[in-house]
Amino acid sequence: MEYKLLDISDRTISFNFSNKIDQKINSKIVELSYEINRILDQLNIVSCYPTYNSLIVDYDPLNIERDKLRKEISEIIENFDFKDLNSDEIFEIDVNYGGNYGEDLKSVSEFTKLSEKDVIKIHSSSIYHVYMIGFSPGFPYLGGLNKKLICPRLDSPRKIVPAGSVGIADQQTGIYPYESSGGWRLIGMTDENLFDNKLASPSILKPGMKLKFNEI
Amino acid sequence: MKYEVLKLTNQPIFSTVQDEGRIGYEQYGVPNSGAGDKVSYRLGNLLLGNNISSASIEILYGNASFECINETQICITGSDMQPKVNGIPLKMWQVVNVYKGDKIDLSASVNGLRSYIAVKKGIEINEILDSKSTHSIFELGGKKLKIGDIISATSINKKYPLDRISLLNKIPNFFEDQDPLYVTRGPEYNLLNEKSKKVIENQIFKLSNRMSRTGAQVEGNKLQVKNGKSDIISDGVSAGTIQLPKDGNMYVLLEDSQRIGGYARILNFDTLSLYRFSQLKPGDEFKLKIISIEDAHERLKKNDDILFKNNIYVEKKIIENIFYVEGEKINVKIFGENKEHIYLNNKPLKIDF
Repeated sequence: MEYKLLDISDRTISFNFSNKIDQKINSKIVELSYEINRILDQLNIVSCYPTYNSLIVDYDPLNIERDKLRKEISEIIENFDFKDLNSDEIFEIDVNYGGNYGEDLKSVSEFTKLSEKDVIKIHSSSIYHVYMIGFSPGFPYLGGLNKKLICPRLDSPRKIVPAGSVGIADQQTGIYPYESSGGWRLIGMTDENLFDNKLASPSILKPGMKLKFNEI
Repeated sequence: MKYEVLKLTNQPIFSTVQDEGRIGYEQYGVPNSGAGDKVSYRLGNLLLGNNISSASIEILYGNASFECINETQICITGSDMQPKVNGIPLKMWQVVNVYKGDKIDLSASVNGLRSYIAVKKGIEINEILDSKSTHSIFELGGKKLKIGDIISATSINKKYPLDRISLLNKIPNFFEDQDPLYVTRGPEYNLLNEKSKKVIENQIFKLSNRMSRTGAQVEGNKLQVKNGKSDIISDGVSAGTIQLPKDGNMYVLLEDSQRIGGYARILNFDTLSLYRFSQLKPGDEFKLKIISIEDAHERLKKNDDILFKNNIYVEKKIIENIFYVEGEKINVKIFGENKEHIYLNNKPLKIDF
């Protein structure tokens, strides 16, 4: 696998594998991140997490030389036996669409020239891929949105997006596990709790998982 | 075992419990949090003989008051908030004993943004995801401290003698430092046009009042990217990353920030400059200087020696005597840089000169 080495800071380095969103590349990055997290102490690094296109590694420069770190991670990447961890299991999430639950369903319908019913039908029939978790604890960046539903972000972000909101923006859809600000168009809401800080892996959704929304 | 040590007796502007931060949960979308100025935070713990990563109180802007519930030792570091115990000025960066009923007051911050109160044995609160650090928005760790809150230490009191205490050779001079803040180039630095690159090296920037523990907006000439598009496919960021959003104003991510961002990552504060930056107040001015990653690592190694490895020594700093007056035992302790603290039978004696 080809990659570029980018220094995000003097203690964070990025192994950047692509400049486009690609599910196959992301799946490999996710697999690598699991392996590196398994041997974190052995590698003498602080932490590691996947993004769409990159493997992000935090290190303590007082503990490990950047060159040594680069060499060790490069060796792992070059010799890695990718197993394609993607399972067929699909995590299902019940969603109340529209009305007070999804205030922007109307604007999505107008923008896409689809009826609200069709927006819901299309959104709840696709299988989505969890690329990464971020923005807020447990927030999944989901790929696989049907092209008919592509919509721009809101012109000005909402100050308060309620917890549980399901939104779409550009080619992405996602769920806000926490109340926060946000610029995605909200089309529904779920009661599913996506983050439990008492668990060792506190995010219910994890990179590499498959997900489907059910209309209720 | 919890041991109650301090009670908040006023409503602080923004105070939280912080430690080294929440490490290893980035893959689940969890921000790191932790103390902003880790030099001041760590030195407080080292002076008290604590584990370097023990939890302390981080006080932003100042104006915080406490009452001591049970005898302990504290050490106040960071920005000078002119602390007083029972009205008597207290030196910063120094271990002091505080006794039941003592009033500890911090005024408005004079020279920086953040002070740390380290407590002997460290503060005890429930750990969430391996850390005691507070993320007030996502309610990880504790919450913002409020009047009436009780702070506990991790173990019950033994008597903490002050006869030999740790002192610093060198107090970090963050607050008088006229040096520029050092930055390394970010992954999207080369998206900047030539004019903007010059602005970065020559401009005096100002911290706006749009700031929190999550991030801070910087004021100055607006910066521009060559093709006008500063959005990126969301990717890794860290505390100290300087992003360039659409409006052209630099936005610095701080310790409570998420670890994924969607704006061009143009620059990044080196570790030491990030701690210095985290002490700036709205309206404070600063210059930037770009250095290489290698130079940033050199700076870190050199300063780690100066600030931590070779900085702490132990000195006898107290006079303690026991007298018997008509059969009654009287314990007298005199301590402080100017011998300003006198305690009779462990009760502070107020003297008006």
